[in-house]
Amino acid sequence: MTCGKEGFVPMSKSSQIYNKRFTRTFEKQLRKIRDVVRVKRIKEEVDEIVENPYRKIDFGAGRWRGKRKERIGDDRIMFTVCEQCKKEGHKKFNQCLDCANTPTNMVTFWEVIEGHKY
Amino acid sequence: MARTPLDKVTDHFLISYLINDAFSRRRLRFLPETKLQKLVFLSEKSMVDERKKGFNFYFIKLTHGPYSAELKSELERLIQIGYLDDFGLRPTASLRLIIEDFQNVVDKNQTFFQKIQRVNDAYALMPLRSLLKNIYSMPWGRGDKTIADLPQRTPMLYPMKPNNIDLEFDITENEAENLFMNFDPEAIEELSQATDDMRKGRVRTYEQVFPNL
Repeated sequence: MTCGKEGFVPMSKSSQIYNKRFTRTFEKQLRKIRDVVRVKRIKEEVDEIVENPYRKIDFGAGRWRGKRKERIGDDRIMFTVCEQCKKEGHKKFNQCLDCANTPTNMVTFWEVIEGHKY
Repeated sequence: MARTPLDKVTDHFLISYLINDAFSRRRLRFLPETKLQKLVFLSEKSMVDERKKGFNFYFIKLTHGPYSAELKSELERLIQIGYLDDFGLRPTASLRLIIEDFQNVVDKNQTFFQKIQRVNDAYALMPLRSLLKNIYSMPWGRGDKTIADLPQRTPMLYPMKPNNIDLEFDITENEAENLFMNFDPEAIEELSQATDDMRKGRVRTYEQVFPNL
């Protein structure tokens, strides 16, 4: 496995509706961002991802294996789509407590990473 | 020249590869820090000799030959974030995962990784005393001086100046960013907290995360 795009191509999902949830860490990281404009942009990006999670696919690597990455200016958000996680065999990396009972149309937002640090 | 963030992340990855290669391919069982210092020095020297910018450590001559204080601090970081065992610098599964996931970076920079492999082939299993003897007898600079003849604290290697470089380490912005994250203790700690949240079912709703927006 290498970092970057992977081969999973979902069936047509145009009519699929996705739900969303966030980790407590995501919430904490977001609270630390004082710039309202940045927070709004992250919110808009979250909305767009939930609207269409497969428009561009960029996977993290190493410790972030199994998580998708989206750029918003200097910030990055890391997320997973349950159906993709299950299909790609990423459950062992993501280790969600309620995996078996979580609907496959769930998008989980894990982290906000401040890209300017890098 | 000061090491740039990109220099540093390249160094992290090259050290990780060197250590993993010494243990996996050369079947090393224990890597003393002094030996690692010399293996990195020899690798960096072989790159600099051909004007290839891979490793970017400053090395000075000390009592036991070439030494880099920055390398020492990078090693401490690798131990702190759980990529190396404290005892013997053995690579952990997390470090092997990184090498595996960044195989494309290895593939497109073969010239750098081959130099590391050659150094490991020649010196990784050599007893430390013989390795030091070899290094002390290496010629250095103009004339017939060897490393042993250099005064203490003589600068030996440092990051290459841009106009001296024939070949740079090839890494995209996205690959560099992924590597930065993997070598950043703070980012790793936050990932660990997020993973813990999901293991314990600590989730938040959209309304909780984005109130008043």
